[in-house]
Amino acid sequence: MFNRFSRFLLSLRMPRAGLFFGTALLSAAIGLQQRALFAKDAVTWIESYDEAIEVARNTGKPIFLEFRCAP
Amino acid sequence: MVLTEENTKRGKLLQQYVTARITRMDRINIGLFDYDRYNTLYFFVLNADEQIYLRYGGRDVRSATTYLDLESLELALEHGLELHRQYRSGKLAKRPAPPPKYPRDIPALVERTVARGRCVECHLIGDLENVQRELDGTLDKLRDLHRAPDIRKLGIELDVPKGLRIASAAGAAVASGMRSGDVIRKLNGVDVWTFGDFQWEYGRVHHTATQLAIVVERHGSLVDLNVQLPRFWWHTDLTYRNLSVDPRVYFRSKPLALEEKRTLGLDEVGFASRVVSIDSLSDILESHQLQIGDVIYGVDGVTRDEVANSAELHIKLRRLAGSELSLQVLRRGERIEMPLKTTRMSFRK
Repeated sequence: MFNRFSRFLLSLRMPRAGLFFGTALLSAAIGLQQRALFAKDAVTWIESYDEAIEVARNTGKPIFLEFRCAP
Repeated sequence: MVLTEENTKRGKLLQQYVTARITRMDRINIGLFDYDRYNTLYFFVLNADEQIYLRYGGRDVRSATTYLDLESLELALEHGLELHRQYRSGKLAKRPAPPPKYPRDIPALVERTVARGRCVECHLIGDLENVQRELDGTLDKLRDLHRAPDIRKLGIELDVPKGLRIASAAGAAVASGMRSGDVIRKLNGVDVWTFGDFQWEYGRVHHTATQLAIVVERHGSLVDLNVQLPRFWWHTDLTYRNLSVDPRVYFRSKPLALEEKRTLGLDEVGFASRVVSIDSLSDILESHQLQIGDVIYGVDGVTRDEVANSAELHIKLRRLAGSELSLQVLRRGERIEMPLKTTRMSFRK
């Protein structure tokens, strides 16, 4: 895939275009990585029913309980 | 990987909950958390007193996710928080708990999972509860396999992201006065907040019932509707429960069209069906000698079944695993008799 893309850039015979595309791709990749690194997941799943009941009792929160076959 | 970012609406809602994920059912009170185990995902909103406020889940034959949607999940989470506020302020009455029941109370389940150190998975509970009922002589396949009636049989199509909002009403639903835009609020006197709630209550209605009391919210007012239930309203396609339905017959068949039955001189209201595939296990287990293209038009001389449209389904619904039957088969124009030996599936259980 990468080789095909490189060949495409070379075929343009436009180093500036290649530089532009390359920089844009790099920026997008860094942006995505930063988002993945700094975004925080709102959910921490407790895997013990008894523990969930205890935490709910202590915090006064309701429980959102999920049953599923695989983790 | 971030699935629910904390700054999103869903993230903010979930942060007001204790979130728990259960993947092993060994020590779970399955009497309290009863649901159709053929749901891939199923959720409950409850409190520390084990009072269940609502359910989120439910499915139909089309897909395990037909009624799962992030927008309707957010609605359910909002309802859950409101119900919790009401409970804590004493405005929501405490409901009696159903009798407790644990996986260890089902001997067939214990034998095939707990005793072998295997995981007790949700679907195994559903399957082996039925195996146990069969062993105890209490299995009613029409009741125990048809646990999730399809609301489309009533003519109800939901606007799924909006929870229980009616997208369109037809048939029995429209005859009761239901309109698109209505939001279902009660079923037979019980508050329902989600499709999961509705399907759960609907599945508990006795098969002999002839009507359903539904309350809808319309322009801010509550409207009582009386839905006349069509015949066999509870009947659903069991295809997606295939692995749960014993006996094994090791062939698949497709119902014949009326014209074909007429042409072949078969019972026009019978369950005659054409064999379309054969499981290779049939040879190993010496189950039958059917061939693709054979038409099965009778089972032990019976040609009709009011709830089964194929010979295969008739056998699955009416016979026990291990029974030996005689099939009446039409093969290349010749009527022949053929034995069929049924078995119980064991590898998955």
